[in-house]
Amino acid sequence: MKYLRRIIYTLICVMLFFSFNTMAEGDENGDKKKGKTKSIALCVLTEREKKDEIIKGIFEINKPLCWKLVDYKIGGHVSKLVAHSEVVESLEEYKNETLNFIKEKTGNDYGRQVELISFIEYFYTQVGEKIENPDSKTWPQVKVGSVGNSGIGLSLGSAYDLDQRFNLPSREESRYFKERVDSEFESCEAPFEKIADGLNGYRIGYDEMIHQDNIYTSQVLEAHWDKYDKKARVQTLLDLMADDSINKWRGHYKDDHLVGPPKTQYFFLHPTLIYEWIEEEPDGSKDKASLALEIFGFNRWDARMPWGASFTLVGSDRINFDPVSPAVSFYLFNKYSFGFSFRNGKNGFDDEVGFYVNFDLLSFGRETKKGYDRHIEKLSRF
Amino acid sequence: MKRIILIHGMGTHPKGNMKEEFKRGMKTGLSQFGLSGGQIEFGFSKMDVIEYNFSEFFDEKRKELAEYADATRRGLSVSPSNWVERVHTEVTKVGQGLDDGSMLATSWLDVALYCNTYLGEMIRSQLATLLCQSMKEFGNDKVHVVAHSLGTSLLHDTLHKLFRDDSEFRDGISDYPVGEFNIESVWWLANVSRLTSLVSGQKKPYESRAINGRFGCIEHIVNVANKYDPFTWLRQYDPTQHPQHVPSYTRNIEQTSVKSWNPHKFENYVAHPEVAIRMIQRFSTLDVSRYISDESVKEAVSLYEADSLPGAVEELGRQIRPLTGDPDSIKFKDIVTAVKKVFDEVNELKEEYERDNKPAEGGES
Repeated sequence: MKYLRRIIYTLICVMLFFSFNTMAEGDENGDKKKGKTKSIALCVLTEREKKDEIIKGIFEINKPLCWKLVDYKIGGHVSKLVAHSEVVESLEEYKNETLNFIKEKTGNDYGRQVELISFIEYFYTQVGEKIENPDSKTWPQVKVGSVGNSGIGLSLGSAYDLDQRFNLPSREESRYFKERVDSEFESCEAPFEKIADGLNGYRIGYDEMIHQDNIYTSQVLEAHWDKYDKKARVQTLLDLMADDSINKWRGHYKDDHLVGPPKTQYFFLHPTLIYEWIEEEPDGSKDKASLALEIFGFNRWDARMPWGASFTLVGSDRINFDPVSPAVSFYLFNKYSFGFSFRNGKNGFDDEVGFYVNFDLLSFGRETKKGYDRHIEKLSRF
Repeated sequence: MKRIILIHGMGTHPKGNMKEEFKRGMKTGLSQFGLSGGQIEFGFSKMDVIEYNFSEFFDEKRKELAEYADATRRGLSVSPSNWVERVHTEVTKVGQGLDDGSMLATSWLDVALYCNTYLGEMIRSQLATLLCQSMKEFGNDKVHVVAHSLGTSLLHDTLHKLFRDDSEFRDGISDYPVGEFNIESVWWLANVSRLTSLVSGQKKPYESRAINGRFGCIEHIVNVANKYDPFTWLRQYDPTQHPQHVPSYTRNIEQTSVKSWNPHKFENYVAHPEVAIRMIQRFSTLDVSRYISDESVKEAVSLYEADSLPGAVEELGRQIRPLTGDPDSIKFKDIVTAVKKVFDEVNELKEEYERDNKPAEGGES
């Protein structure tokens, strides 16, 4: 039976070798993912938006404002102070050009002209105020839709004063927009959305930056979670709940933002099957399939060399030793596990240290029902 | 084009089912106003409807847990009996039968998996990615989210974490500044976020940033509850209780009809005329100005409620009313027991009703 020990050690070495290879592949994939940063196109309309004369026209007038806002927000080649004064000086100009453009395109025939002009003036005033007081306001965004029981209108949304809303003309009132709806079923909302999109164009560069940044960070988080779900050790429902409580208690999960997976997994009353070998047992009874219950354990699943340990109880009827003994289990690479049981001797036998390999060691990774069945059958033969 | 994201609730939801239920429900609700098929189809043509489905993932996890426990139990045969085996047996019972399809397994276990395991944060990250991508592609002012049941908790918790007061560009955290990228509308159908926040440790809904206005992340909030849905009786959610809500942009709709033996059903929530007409108005450019007045809505709702199931379930309401307030003393265990009791009684009523040879319908939550 001493050969058995050698065989087991050899087996562990072979598995470690394969695990290193797997780990190297994982790192390579991770690096590839990190390198996938998309280029950011700022202050550029989409192809679809470019085709619409209203959106394109208003946007082109406000394009310099778009670039200044990008500089203002992330610090480009213009300092915050210069951007501030430049933007404020130009706002009046943008506003007048925008209004002239709309009048020209619609032939003053878009309905409720005075109210619309007043709303656009209000919009530019709010942009100016945001520049003056960056912390007390939000960058205005023109919204189209109904509020409460009112009809469709333009507004700056729930962050702004509702009184400054512009109620859209009906189709009968607005000849220009009546001619531009897609179907008899459509409200005037769609054509007015184009005015809103054009005015909102001043912040598309800023929006694009924030979206790209958030898409990238959330995709990275998602990839980490995916890795955790696929690579970390399998947990039972009890493990999962204990793990969650401990990681919450340790402050891993944050109240105010999303986080990736914890670095350490925890296990509580985790049942496993083991194959235990005790030198001092009589021939034919030295090796035996047994039960193990990991009372409490942890696993550093994403360490450079993933490892873990747990305090375990091992139970099996033995000839020269007590049936239950404390043990320590170790895990490597989220896959392999072995341990040592500290057996109390009886019938005049001294205490002895037994060696065991965990069921997971035999399974080469995550168990499936069929996998378990196969291994249970094998173990039963011993 | 507007992006509509649907988020399902507890239980098993095959991919695509929710989308179908959504369209079917909308058609039922809109037909009460006399809208033509052409009008409804025109409305749908302006929507890009997708569903965020975490059910497949949860189903898989339930199955994995059950199989693991089951295989370990069968592994007991390799060992003689001693007390380790007894503990082993008890512990493995926890996982057994988790995929048996019963209400306890598919509904309450989903709540436990969401609230008390890493799966909650994992699916929040997935939903956050979808929200970010949708906002980039369509613009935040053209993104609408409809969440039902457990989906309301998922959405609430994700929004609170995705929009932050101290958001910084390139700070390595996925976050938007509050008030600047408000999602155009959020529809809470059978909102259970106050209930789940009891056990999940997530931000309490009346203190969170999942609200409208300058300090929130939503423009229009519509909260819909069915008077007979037991999930909405317990720690009821009411957005107007949030101190920062903007009244003109916040609406509560209470449904008083029972169209199916499962009053928690998603399709029935959408099929309610007031919900359907306000949704199509918000989600498309269909001209519904003729139908949106209080009078026409009231008329359509009466028409819809005319063939409501008998009011016997009102009795159930009386039984559970003591739990509807907000006493901190209510234990989660009592809530689970109460909901189970209600569903048992609904089933009894259903059987009685069917014995009288009247038509009945059923369905998933």
